Amino acid sequence: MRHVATTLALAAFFFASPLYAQLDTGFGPDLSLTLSPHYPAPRDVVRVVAHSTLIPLSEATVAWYIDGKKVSESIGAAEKEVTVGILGSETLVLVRAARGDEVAEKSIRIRPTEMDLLWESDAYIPPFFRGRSLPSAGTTLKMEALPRFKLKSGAQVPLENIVFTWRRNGYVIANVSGRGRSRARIPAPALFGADGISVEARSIDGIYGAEISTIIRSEEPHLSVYENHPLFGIQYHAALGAQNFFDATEVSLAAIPYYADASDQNDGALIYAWEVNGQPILLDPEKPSELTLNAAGSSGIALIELALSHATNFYLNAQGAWRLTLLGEGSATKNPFTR
Amino acid sequence: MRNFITSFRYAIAVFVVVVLAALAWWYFMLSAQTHEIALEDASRGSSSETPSFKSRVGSTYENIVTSASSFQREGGSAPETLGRLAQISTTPTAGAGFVAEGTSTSVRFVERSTGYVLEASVADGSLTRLTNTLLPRTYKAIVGEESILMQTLEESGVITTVVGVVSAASSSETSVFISTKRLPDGIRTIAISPREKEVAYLRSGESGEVVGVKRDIASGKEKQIFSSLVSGWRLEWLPNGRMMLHQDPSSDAAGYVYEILESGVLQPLMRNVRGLTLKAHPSSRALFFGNAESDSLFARINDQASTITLPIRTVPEKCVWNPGKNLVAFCAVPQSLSGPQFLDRWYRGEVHTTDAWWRVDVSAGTAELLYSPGDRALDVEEPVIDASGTYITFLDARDKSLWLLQVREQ
Repeated sequence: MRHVATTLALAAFFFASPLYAQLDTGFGPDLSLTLSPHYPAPRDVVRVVAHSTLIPLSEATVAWYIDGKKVSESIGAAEKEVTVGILGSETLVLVRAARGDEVAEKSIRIRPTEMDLLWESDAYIPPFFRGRSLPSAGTTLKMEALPRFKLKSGAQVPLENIVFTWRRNGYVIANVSGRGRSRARIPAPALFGADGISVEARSIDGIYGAEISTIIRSEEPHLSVYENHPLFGIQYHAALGAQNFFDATEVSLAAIPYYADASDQNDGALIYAWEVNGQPILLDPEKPSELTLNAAGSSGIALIELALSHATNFYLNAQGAWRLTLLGEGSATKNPFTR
Repeated sequence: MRNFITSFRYAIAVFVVVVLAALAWWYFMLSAQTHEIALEDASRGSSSETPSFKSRVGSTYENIVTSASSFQREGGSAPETLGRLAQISTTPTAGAGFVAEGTSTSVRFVERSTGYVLEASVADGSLTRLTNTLLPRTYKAIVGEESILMQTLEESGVITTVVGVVSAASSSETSVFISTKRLPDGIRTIAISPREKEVAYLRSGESGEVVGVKRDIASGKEKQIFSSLVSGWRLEWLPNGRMMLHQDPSSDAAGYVYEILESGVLQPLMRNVRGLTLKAHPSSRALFFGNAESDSLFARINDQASTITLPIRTVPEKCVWNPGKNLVAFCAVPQSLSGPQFLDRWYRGEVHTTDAWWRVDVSAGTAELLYSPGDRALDVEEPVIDASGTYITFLDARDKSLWLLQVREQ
């Protein structure tokens, strides 16, 4: 019986190489190891802590071996900092604790991994915009995890051999989690809200694992107004400020609802309410985001006010106000701004 | 009978006088209307004069050169310069690049309103129009020595992309001929290979994802290189053949930049950095990067090297690496980066900077002021340097006008 136990213990030592080891063989003094961080990245300094319920480690002589080489031995040294290698490497850490006749050993293979978490929303941003599409209430987050579980051969563990668990604020999102499900579409955080989104990936053999999290806030849709020039098109590079002067009698404006729950700025669900000097303006139903001002025979400052809402997304609300002065030749003293 | 003939003659005379008076009135009325229309057009912002059809080279060309800049026109003398700085085009420009022909260098650029390709000599300021194919609202252009990529925005909101291949012209009207091929619609980002035989771009896939493809310009053959659920990327193809993939940045979001390996694997260059923007060196592993935590510009000499904090505050998009192996760059440095969420507000055109040019020696970690444009406010973007490292052309983000700066004595 004793030979069987020894053989099994040796087998557990040589063949068991879990990512994090808390194995109690049940055939003698127990010893387990925990890692911090749980899923080390390349070149991380990992804190390895030995635990035992039967051996008081503070009184035991604890020896640490890294890749077969003894690096330290002292009484009560129950933890060790280990610098792991690059992606695709393995670092074998072995700890041996001895107190009198009681001897326990435990080993762990540390395989560094990496995972990226990419995200954006499907909210509206104009063509050629160089920034990120940020989420607002009612939009959808598009998320993608890119794990790098590199084998010793240099190959990567394929995505279909990885199980992804997506969580929002700690709760598993079951309908987007599962084997090979590295991509997820989930609702954006609620109005003014922020959600902690995390994804944990584990290879199906349990050898490799990684986890990454981020906090994503819901933005309020942002209204910017630009000149829609007859030759140059919408001047996306020059948003109107609070006070604007145009050396023209007539000017066309285009409102751009950044981060809104819309497919384009003239999405049928968007409701634009333009006012010029307090007067509501009747809009072109095809292009409600646009407004043309003609100051022929008039002059002075026009106060443009715009409120944006959505037919079904009651969280979408944005507004802005801009002052314009048209200085074209035809301007006079009246104020007949018309479409 | 005699009385009838006399009356008839009087009637004819009166009729002729009336007709002549009507014609005279018609002439003066038309002249007045033409003048009024011209005034109205000018007041609407179409600063180009109404075509007069009097020019030997055509009113279109006249309109272009009158809108283009402080550079002297064809056959003119030296350009009107502001010291080392000259404005090439006052009207919005879609993109620009340098073209070297023998010992002469020109700035080739694309007008946003027309899509016309023009060339300005940096030596004598002469301006030449290369194409007469109208591509209204060309918002983006990438200009190479032999190819030009032009992206226009249709009324429907669809982005169309054409790739033009430049060759010697058979006619004497223009010096080059540009044959164009249309690429798939909806391309948000595109890059051209160093030899300008291939393009790489992102297009929509079948299940809502985006697909990155390489396409041979001549044959039109496509090869998929990667796919992603995330669509907000910028592609960059460096002169040394490395292809970079930048996630669209935001001041409040972590960003990633990858190198796309031949196998299609995305190898991270920089990961999980809030507000990440990055400019890689064209021929080495060095790079600039910036983040939202700090206004400073950072550099890394290679993948393993530690980060260098440079003594200037700017974003990598305002920098251009000097050609060659030396780790020298020229950066436009704002007087201030104007507060939080600068990147998002800058991209939305809500905030502009006033920049001065600095020369940055990354190896030494130093920077020195190169040129300050005085009271002229320039918000530099898309800087491009010529192969000899003598000139930089860039856009002013305030109005998309095109500028030329001499950074080195010839």
